[in-house]
Amino acid sequence: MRMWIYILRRLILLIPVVMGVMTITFVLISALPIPTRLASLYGSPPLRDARIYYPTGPCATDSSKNCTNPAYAHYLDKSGLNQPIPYQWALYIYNSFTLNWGTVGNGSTAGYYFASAQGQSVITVLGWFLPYTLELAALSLAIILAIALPLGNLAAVNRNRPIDQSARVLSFSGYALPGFLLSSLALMGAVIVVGSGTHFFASSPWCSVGETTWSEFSGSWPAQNCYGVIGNSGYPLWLTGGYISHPTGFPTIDAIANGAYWLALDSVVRLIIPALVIAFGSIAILLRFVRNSMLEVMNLDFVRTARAEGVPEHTVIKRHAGRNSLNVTITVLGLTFAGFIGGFPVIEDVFHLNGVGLLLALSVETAHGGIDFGLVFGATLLFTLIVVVANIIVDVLYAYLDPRVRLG
Amino acid sequence: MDAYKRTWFFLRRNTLALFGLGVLIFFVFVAIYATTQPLPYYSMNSYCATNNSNPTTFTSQNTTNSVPAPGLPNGTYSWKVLPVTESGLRYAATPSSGTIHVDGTRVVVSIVFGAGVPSSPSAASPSSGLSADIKASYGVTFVEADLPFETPWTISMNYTSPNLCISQVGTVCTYPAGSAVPGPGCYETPFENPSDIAPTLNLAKFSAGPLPLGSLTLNPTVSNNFFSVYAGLLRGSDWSLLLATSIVVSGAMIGLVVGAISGFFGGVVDETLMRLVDIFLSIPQILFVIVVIAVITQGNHTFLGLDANNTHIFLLIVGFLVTWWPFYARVVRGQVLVVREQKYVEAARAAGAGKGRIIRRHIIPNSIYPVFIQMSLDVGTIPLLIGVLVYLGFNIFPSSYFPEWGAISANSVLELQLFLDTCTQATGCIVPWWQILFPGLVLFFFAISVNFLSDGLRDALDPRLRR
Repeated sequence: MRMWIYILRRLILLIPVVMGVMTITFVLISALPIPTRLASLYGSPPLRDARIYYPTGPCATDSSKNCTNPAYAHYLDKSGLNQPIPYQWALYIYNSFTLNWGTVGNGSTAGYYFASAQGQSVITVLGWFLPYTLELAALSLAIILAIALPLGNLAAVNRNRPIDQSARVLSFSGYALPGFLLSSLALMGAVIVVGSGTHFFASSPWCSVGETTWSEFSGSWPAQNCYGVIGNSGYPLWLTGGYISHPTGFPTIDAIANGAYWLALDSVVRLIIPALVIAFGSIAILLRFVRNSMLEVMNLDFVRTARAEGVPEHTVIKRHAGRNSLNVTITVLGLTFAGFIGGFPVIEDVFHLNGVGLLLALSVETAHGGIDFGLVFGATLLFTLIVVVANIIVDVLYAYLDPRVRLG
Repeated sequence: MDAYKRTWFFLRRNTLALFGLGVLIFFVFVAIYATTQPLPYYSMNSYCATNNSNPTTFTSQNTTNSVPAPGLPNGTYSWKVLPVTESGLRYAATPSSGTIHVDGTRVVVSIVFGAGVPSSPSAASPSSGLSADIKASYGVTFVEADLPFETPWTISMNYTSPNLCISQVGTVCTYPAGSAVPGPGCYETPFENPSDIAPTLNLAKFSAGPLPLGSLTLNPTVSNNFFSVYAGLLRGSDWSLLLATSIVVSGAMIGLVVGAISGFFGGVVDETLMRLVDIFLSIPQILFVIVVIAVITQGNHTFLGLDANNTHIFLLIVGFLVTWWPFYARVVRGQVLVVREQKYVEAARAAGAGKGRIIRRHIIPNSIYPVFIQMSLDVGTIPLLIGVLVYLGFNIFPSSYFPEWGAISANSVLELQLFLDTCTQATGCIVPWWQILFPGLVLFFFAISVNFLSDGLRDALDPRLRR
């Protein structure tokens, strides 16, 4: 019973946290000029109607009764941008909670590359791209857990011995190398190792049109994001109808659900190297905490008692010490998840995966237009929500494992 | 145990931490040394012009005759064939440009003229293509032959010597690969990417040119547009250390105060402050900095006296700070909750100490050790995050060649990607490894040294791990 009360309490406390984040985003949004804000709410108008958001003359930034531009005044009233700030804040919070996060415009790099996203609402577009990021995150988490937990235990048990030192050095090297460096080198390395560098200088190295080795370790299906070339990836049409696969939108799950097992394997293969790069960066942090919590637990009395009773050492480590050291590990996992979600733009940019990070990186690029603030703030809110939800899951797991948290 | 033994055991136990500390102190000295060196860190201009800066061009026409060309000196030549429009048909050559390398042996280049395409919709139908074999023989003659019929076409060949001079370290000039060395102190450059200059460290003679670690450029096909990796890394040390320490120390101070207040007072204060910490913890760091920079640079309005042109480094610091302090607050609060229950705090309160005194004298000194550990870790992370920002294309520094470790490594990776996209030859593209290896090594050693230091600090300061 106390478990449900704890969960309820955490969920209720979620709301002020989310509102606080929305307030911070609102403070940043209100620093933007009004035409930009209108464009982020309703999408950029076609060029011939640019006068709607960017009028010249007396109505350029004025919303008083002297305004003679009816379209501009209409949009101002509709968006509530001529009201005082507290009203705007309340309206923003309401829109954010009802998932009315704005519209994708046609004047940004993201709108340039993903033409069918123009005019769609931000939530829809984010929903197209989110499953790829989640798949990548899931695979990375699995790899991190599979490597960091046993290695951390091993390092704690053999404290300061060579295996401890080498594990720390190896993991720190992952922590010390920046993600963009590592990912470029990893992709090049994969091409050289697997493809003997023969297709290194293919004419269109980033697109999966053709059989280059480069393309086998990057890119996403079903929608290829060859920059400027958006088309069929060569996969069956019943899977590639548009940007999302059917029925769930997660490529791997959909491939399995539709019986195309080779495609599922292929999409996992495309995710391995990015997931390894992400994991390499995060293993260090997790390893350090696993090692420290294990060290802490192994000094406690009940472990000494178990040893004195004659329990074999490996059972002591696995059953008695291991379980109790999971607390800190789970907390750190939550923090890690928060950390690497912010690092996805670079990984997805280098490996050409259609994730939210790529969307974010493209929407802040100014090469083919301005910055798409609807997408930027929408992605910020989305990432924040993911982090908050992950923290709640972590706290619930923590409470499940450690009764002292529930009762104290 | 006497002092010698104790020292020896201390060194043996904390080897890695001392190594990390040593490397960090080395970096600090490098930063101090860098400020004494008048090294220019913007793009270097060409200061010397030689007689090879004008391209030598010759053209040939009317290929039914073999026209002797003027003698070609040895070197690498770029040639191009201009498309020709004749009788409403336009002929273009494949390939239409390229390079040949004249070194005294016969060189054969094959050019195929494509089928004549009507240059306007009403012109005649296309005819068959043409072909030509252009031979450049030893030193003297340039013979064109084997064209089926008379067509005016032009081939021009350019011999240009990219000439790069680096100021303040003496005059340095470069010469294209394969040609004769024009003079002492000259360094070879690839003809296609004249700004990609390999490291010139000559260990056998213990000499180093002005580019001991090579050059870094954002436009490899343009000459005179690079800076020395060595100079950039040297200068970058003071910028990286400055940014990292300012962000981390300010974040730690704010987090320490918030965490101590929240942990000590408990109750409603604790709850509200922890919710505040949760709010700021939920915002991904890089995202927040991106948003802040994007918003402030968007309009031409000013925000607290800062406008779009002169704010970036300040914005960087503030942007990181806003999302950085919650880590410290959380860590300090956890520690304060433990310290608060200790006996000495109870004793101090029994002796009549006020709350401020207890916080100042007892709580903060005993709960500060995780802050040091976290600080030493974060210092190594910040140049990497700045590199990510530069990689995503944000001009957070006043110049695109700004010397900062993260910026240098991000620019080098971007240039590597550019290079991989544009290098179309099967062999002969020189990967600019020096631009990636050296900045990467520096970042790596920096981060690892602070990691070792933080481990040593923890082993030394953590009361729970003491035997």
